[in-house]
Amino acid sequence: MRVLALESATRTGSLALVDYVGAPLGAPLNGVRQAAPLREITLDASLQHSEKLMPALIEMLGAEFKIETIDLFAVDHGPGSFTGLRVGMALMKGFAFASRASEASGKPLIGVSSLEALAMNGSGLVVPMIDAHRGQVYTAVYEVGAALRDRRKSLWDGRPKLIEPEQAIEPEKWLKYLVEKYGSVPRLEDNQIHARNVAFLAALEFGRGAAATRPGACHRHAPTLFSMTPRYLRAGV
Amino acid sequence: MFILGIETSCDETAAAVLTDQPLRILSNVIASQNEVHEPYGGIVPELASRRHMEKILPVIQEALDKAQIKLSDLEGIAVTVMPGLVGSLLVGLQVAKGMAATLGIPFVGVSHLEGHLQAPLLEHPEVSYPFMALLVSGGHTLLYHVKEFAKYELIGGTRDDAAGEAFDKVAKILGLGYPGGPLIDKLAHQGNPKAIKFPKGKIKDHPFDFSFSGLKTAVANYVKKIEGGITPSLLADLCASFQETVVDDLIGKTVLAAKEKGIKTIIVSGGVACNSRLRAKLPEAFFPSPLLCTDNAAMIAAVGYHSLKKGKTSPWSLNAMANQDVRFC
Repeated sequence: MRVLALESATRTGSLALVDYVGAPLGAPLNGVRQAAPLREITLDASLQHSEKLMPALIEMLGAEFKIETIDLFAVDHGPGSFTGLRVGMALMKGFAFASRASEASGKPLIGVSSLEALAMNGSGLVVPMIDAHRGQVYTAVYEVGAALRDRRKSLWDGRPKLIEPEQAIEPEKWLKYLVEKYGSVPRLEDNQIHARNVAFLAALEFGRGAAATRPGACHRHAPTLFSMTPRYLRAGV
Repeated sequence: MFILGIETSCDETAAAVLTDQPLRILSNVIASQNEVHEPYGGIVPELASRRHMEKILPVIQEALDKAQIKLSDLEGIAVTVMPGLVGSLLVGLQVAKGMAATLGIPFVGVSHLEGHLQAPLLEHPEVSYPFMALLVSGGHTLLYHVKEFAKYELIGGTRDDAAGEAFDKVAKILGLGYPGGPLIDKLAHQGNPKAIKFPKGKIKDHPFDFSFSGLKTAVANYVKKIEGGITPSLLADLCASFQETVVDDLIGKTVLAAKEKGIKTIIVSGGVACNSRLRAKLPEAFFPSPLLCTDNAAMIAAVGYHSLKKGKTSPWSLNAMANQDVRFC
C-alpha cells in the first residue's frame, strides 16, 4: 500500500510518500509497524503553502512519477492554521477526486488529527501543542508507544490513545490543569508534524474502516470525499 | 475540447464545462452562499472559505454530469486566482492544481475581471473586437477599451464605491436588506425616476471616471429630512430616482467613451448588468443573460480556453491574490 501524505496545519509543511510493503490496501496494519518513508520533505512554507506545496510535491515525486500508483491520499485535517488546512485538504481533494478518472470509485482520501500525528513524535504521556493564536494553543493528551503496546499486546496497532480531548485553550490554564492532574508536563523535543506519521495514521484508519465494513470501503463514520472539511475546533465568526 | 472552469473568488462556489467549435457552455453550476452570510448583513470571509471546502467537489461533479462528460474527457482546467477573498480563491486554486496534476492536463489561473469581459461573448458570438466594455458589479466599476483577447485599455473607473456597492449601501439606508441591487430594481418599477434629483459624481479632467459615494450620502441626507417615516410610494420614488442617477451616469460615460474611441460595439457585464433599467436604457449594448452577469465559472473557462489556445499555462507555484492591477499590467 502506497500512501501520499501531506501536512499543512502549521507554519512549515511536510510531504511524504510511504510504502507499507506487504500490506495490501485495506488490510489491517497490525504488525506492519511504521514503514520508513520512501521520500519525505519538510518545507519552511512560512504559511505560503499555496505557492510551495505543489512544487515541492512534484519535486519529491519526480517528473516521471505516476499518480495512479498511489493507493491512498492522506492529509491532516486539523486543528491548525485555517488557511493552511484548507490549502492542503483542497489539494488532496483535487488529487483524490481526479483519481476517479481511471477507476470508478477513485483512491480514498483520509483525514487525520494534526495533534495525533504530532503526538507520534513522543512516547509515554505526550502533550502536543500547536499555536492557535489569539493567546491559545490547540492541544490534547495522548499516550504513545511501549507501555501502550505492552498493555494491548496483539491488539496494539501503533495508534496513540487519546487521553484528553482536542481543544483550544490558554497555555497557562492548560499547564496548570496538567500539572494538577498528571504532576508534570512532558515536553516534545520534535515539534514538527511529520507527513510520514500522517500517512501511518491514515493507513491505519483506512485499514480499520475496511475491516469494519467491506473491502475498499471507508470507515462508517468517516466523511465522504465530497463532504470532508477541516476540523477547525473554532467557529468561523 | 472540454475545459473545466472553477470560480470561488467570493461567495459563490461555481464550476462550468465549455466545449469548442463553436465555443459554448455545456454546464454552468453555481452554489450560492447567500443563506450563510445573510444573518451577518455581508460576506464573512472565513465562513465563505469553509463553505467553498464543502461545496467545491459536489459542484464540479454536477458540472461534469450536466455536461455529460467524464473526468477523463477534460483537456484543461481554468481557475480564478484574482481578485477576490484569498481564503476562498485558494480552495478553488488548490483543487484545480490537484486535479490537473492527476489528470495530466494543463491548468491556467484566470483573472475574475477578465472573465467578466468575456462573459457576453459566450452568448453573442456575433460580437467582434474591438468593443467598449462596462464592467459593473459590487466590487468594480470599470470601463475598458477591449482591442482583442487579453488586450485591455482601461478608460475609466470608480474613485470610491463600486456601483453595486452603492446599491447595497442605499438599500441598507432604506432598510431593505441585502443584496441591495435586486431589491431596489424591483421597487423602482413602481416609482417615478424623475421624482427626486440626485447629483451625479463628476471627476475634474477625468470624464470617464465614476464616483458614487456622494450619491449615497445625498440619499442618506434626503432620508434624514423626511418627517413621519417613508411611505411606500416615496420609497419607490427614492429607489427609482437613485437607480436612474446611477444608470444614466453609467450609460452616459460608456457611450461617450465609445464615441470618443470610435467604437461601435458596447458590452456590459458584472452583477449590475442584471439591472432591468440599465438593460432597458441601453438596448444597443450586449448584455449576458443574468446567470452570466453574476459570478460564474463559464466565463472563467472561456478565458481559460483562449489562454490555453495561445499556449499559456500556469506554474504549480501559482498563488491567489486579493487584488489585481485593473490596468492588466
